[in-house]
Amino acid sequence: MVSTHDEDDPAVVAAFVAGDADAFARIYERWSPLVYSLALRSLKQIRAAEDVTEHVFTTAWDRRASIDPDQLVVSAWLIRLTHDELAGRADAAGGAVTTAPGGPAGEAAEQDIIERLSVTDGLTHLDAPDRRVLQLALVDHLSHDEIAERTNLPPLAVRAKIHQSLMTLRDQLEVQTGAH
Amino acid sequence: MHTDPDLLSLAALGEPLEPDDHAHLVGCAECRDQLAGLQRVVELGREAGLERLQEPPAHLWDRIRDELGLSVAPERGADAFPPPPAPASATGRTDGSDRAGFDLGAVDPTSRATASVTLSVDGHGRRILQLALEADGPQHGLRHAWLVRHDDPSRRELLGMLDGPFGVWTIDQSLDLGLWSVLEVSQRAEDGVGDEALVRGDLAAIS
Repeated sequence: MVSTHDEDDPAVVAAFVAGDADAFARIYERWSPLVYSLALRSLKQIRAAEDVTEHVFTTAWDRRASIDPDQLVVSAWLIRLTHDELAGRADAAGGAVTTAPGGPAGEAAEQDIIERLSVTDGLTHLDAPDRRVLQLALVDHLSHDEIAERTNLPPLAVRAKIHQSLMTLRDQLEVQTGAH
Repeated sequence: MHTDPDLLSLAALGEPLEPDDHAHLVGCAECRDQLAGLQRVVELGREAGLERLQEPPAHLWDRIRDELGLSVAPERGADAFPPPPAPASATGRTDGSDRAGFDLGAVDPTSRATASVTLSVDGHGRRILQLALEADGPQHGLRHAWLVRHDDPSRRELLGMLDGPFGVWTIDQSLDLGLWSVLEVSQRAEDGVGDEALVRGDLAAIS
C-alpha cells in the first residue's frame, strides 16, 4: 500500500515553500528523528545534536522560498543540510568534534550511517501490515510461501507486498544517499 | 524479456530462482544491477533491527518555533501531544496517539546531570520509554533505570540497563504508571558496591 502520510504529499511541500507553518510542523514531525539521529550518531552528544537539528530546520525554513517545490525531495534536502552542518562543525573544530575519522574514510562512515538510518526510518514508516510481511522475510527469514501461510494472504499478494516495500525503501535510500 | 521484478525481490531475500530466471540473470546486467540494489536494501533492513531512530526532545520544537516566530495550530508540532496520563488513571495507559517528552533533574544539585525522556505507545499498544542521559561526571559502572512508587520510595522495579547514556525499554502492561510514576537513573558507585541515583523525575508532575 502506498504511503498516505501527509508530509510526502506535494501539496504539503508546496505549502511549506509558501510559508505555511503547519506544513513545516508536519515536515519537522516526519523528518526530525532522522536528522536528530544522524547528528546524534555523528556527534555522540545530545546538546550538540539538538543544536544541529535546530539549525537544520531553522535553515530549511529560512531557505524555503528559494526552493522549487517540484524539484524538492524534502528528506534528501534535509539530509544534505545536516551533512553540511556536521561538516562545518568538524572543520571548525579541526575534525575533533565527530567520532568518525576525517577525509574519505569519514565520508564513507557518514554515508554508511545515512544508509542505515534511512532504511530504519523507511521501515518505521511502512504501513503496519506491509511492514509485518517484510519483517517476517527479513528477520524471521520466512519464504514468501511461509509468510502466505502465516498471514492468510495469497502468495502472489505477499510477493507483491514484499517487492513494493523493498522498492519504497530502495527509492528512499537512493534519493537520500544521492543527496550530496 | 526481463525477470519479473517481484522475483528479484525474493532473490534478494535469498529465495532460490528457477533455472530459467537464473540463466537470464547471468546474461543481463540490468537485472543484476536491480538485484544488487535490492540486496543492499535487504542487508540494511536486516541490520535495521539493531538501529534506533531517536526522537529529539519535545522542547526542541518549541525552541525552533519560538526562534522562527511561528504560530502553529495546537494539533501540529511536538508541543501538541497530550500530557502524560493523570495519576488517577487505573492503568496509566495512553492511547496510540499519545507521546510525551520530559526531563529528569539531577539528584545531586551540584552535578548538573539531566536526562531527556520520551514515553510513547507503539502500534501494538506497548508503552515504550526512551531515555538519553547527560551527566558530566565519569561513568564508574553500569547504569540502570528504575520505576519507583511515588507513595513509597522503597518500592522500585528495574526497567533495565542503559548503554552509556541511552536506554529504550518497554513497560510491562501490568505496571500502573500512575502509581509507579517516579523514574530514576542510577549508576554503580565508585566503590563498585552501591548504586547512586543520578537523575530523577515524576511522570505525574509533568504538564
